[in-house]
Amino acid sequence: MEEKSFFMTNAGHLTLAFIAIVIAFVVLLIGLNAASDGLCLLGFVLVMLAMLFSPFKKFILKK
Amino acid sequence: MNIPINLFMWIMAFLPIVVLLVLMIKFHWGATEAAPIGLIITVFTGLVFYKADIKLLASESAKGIWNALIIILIIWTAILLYQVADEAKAFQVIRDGMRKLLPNELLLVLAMGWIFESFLQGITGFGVPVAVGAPLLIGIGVLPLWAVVLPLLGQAWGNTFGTLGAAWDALAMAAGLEPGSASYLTTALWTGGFLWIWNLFTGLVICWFYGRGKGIKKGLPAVLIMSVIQGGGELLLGQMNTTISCFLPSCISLVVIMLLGRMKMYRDEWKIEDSPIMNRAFTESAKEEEKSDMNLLQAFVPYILLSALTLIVLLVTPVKNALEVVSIGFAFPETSTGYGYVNSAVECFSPLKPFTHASMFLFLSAMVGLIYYKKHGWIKEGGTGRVFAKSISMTMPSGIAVIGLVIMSNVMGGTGQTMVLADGIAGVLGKGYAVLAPIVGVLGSFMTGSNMSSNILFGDFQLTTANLLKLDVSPILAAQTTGGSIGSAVSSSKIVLGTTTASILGKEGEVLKKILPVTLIPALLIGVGLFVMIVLL
Repeated sequence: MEEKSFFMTNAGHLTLAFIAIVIAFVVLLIGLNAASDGLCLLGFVLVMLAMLFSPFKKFILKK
Repeated sequence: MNIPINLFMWIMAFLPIVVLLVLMIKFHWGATEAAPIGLIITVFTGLVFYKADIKLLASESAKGIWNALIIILIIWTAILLYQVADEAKAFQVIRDGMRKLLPNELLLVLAMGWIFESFLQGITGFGVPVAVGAPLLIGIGVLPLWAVVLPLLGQAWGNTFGTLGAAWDALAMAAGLEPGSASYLTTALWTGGFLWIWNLFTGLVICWFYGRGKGIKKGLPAVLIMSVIQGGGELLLGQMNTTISCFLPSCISLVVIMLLGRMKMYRDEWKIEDSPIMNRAFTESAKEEEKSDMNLLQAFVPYILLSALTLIVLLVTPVKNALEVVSIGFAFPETSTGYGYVNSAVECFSPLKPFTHASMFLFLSAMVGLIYYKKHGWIKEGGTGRVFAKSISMTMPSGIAVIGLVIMSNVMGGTGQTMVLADGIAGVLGKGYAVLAPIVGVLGSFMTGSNMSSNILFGDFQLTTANLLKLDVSPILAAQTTGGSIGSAVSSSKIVLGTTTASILGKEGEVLKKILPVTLIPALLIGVGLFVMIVLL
């Protein structure tokens, strides 16, 4: 119950974004080592989406 | 490499920095929101105008995330340590203990507004000294506005080598300074010198705020002694071990100021009745708080442990060598832009040695402190959960901002934008750039909220500019991090932390008005001094 309420807060949302960035980091490393442009692109897009979550939420979703 | 260096390319490279500034200063966005926008512009510019490909962007992003993760480890564990002490109300015990030991009010203000903040900055940083210091100062009768101003100033000198050297490490990483190398040590020496000046200035300014000329006259001996210990100690230790070069002198100064309170000059009760920073009415009507049976020594237990642990591991070479066996790092392939700007392949990029990393000492101290306080009943039921939840809540916003800024800096560097920026500035300003070098550092801290992020963002830029102008790199890098350290006193995120804990949220503008002149003047003076020393002499 407590855990659920944490992920409903701003800090919880940022934690989820952080987890997404860590996952993207792994995808990027695999992509770079396998010389796969597809995986590199996937990882990079994931990073950008996670990074943009905070401004999107604050200035678009909340308005 | 054949990047066209012209006004358009320079403006495109400068655009993300301008956007960051405008969003944060004009529109009051936080770094968590502004950094991703700056990053998007950097990526767009890199792809469209600097001919980067997806492999290069992926590689620089992954490098940036890895560097940021290492930094976030320190941020989280530093905040965890603070939360443990806060939950056990150890800071109230420290405040009451100091009041008893220091009957001279000016010495008490110096201890609570400068020396204790220095100690906290030596270990934790990231705004913790301001967040902790403001309510403690209000508790001894300082007006709330000044209770925010004093810790902001008091913690600033320790920003480069504080937090066990996190900002310094970031500068070394951004500028490619190899630990122990001649350039590393020379830069540390210049930095120590500049920071000593800033440290002395801080002590004198606090005395001035307290009692103008009378305050300086009474406080001068104490300030000189403290500054020799802190500034001089940091200068010396910077040549041996940068991790403890702020922390150790800060610990010593905390003990010495207590001893100063026993000296003839400071042992009697003394105060300036009409001091502009003191609220006499508040002191007399101070509210009774719930008394704790914790003593001063017990309140410091996690910090004493941290000191012991850090000293043993970093100074006992066999222990250090054994623990440094474990090292984590990743290989990165060579990448290049369409203009032939090459980033060489690396076997093991920025390796993390977890058992000798500052975050490990902070984490272990926090855990032992938690167990110790809990065993004595000072952390109540549910306290452990609160400590962890609050530490994550405080870490995440700055964590996301750090990731954004580090990736932005890496992409700028990897696509050649930093090089074009530096080349343009070098061409226009020439060697006169040296005057502005500390101001760039101040700007970085003001924008990003930390000396460390300022060094990440502008370290490579300062290095490239210095090389292009054929200026001595070490003093320029030292000016960068000293500017970053000075700028940490005006960083909006730290001011907000202070106004929040001092319950004057919304008065950030008034705080900034008081503090801006006393930060810009020393930064400019250091720049002029630097210009004279490395250009004219």
